[in-house]
Amino acid sequence: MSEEQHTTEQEDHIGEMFARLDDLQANATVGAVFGQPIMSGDKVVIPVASVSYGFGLGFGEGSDREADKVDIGLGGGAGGGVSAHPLGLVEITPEQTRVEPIVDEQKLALAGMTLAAWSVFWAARAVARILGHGKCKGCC
Amino acid sequence: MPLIHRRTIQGEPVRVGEREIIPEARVTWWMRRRSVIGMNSIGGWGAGLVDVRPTAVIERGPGYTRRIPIRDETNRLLLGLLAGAVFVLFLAQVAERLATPQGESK
Repeated sequence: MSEEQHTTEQEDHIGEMFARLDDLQANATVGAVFGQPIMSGDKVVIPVASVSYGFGLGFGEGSDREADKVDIGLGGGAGGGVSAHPLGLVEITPEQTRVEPIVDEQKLALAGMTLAAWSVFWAARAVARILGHGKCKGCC
Repeated sequence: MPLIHRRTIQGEPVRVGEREIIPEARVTWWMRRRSVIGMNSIGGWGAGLVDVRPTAVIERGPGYTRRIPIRDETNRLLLGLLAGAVFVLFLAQVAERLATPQGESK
């Protein structure tokens, strides 16, 4: 295989990989976030979620042609991740259609505890400064 | 060329009685790619992020169309807590300033 052919082949591979990256967003459909409708009596329920995904890839090939023998090195890697969070349920009854939200209680509890700690810190700091006024010499 | 792209997509309608429910979502994506072709080397990288978020369901009945938004309640509550944190900080600073005689910083 000539060097020119080899480079063209590599360029084709790069083009193909980049085309697959484009496919990832082009293939994002409503089906990724809306589940299959579930029939329950005269009610239809559609689960709803939000989905995010990320990916990355890198590759390289190089040769040292100045040495007596040609050294060729190549390498590459790729990785990705997906995250999905339930958002709610779409309930369709003969009378009405409504969205029942799903709240992530664990996340809220953690955030609430952080807020409580934050509030205690700032309140204590303010009280200490107010009560200790005139005594504190820039230590706090 | 914008850094972040966005498009709205709609799915197949779900028919319930005389009504049609059309799901709607928003796709947001960021993508970067680069390749380097040199005399003795060839290389490249690519990265991307895609976010698919449901935005609403559109209800079509006999003689009416209604858009029912889908909101991320967890995010809304978290933003509320964040606003609370900023308010606490503001309140503490105001209390300190009011209690400190004028002309003294500490």
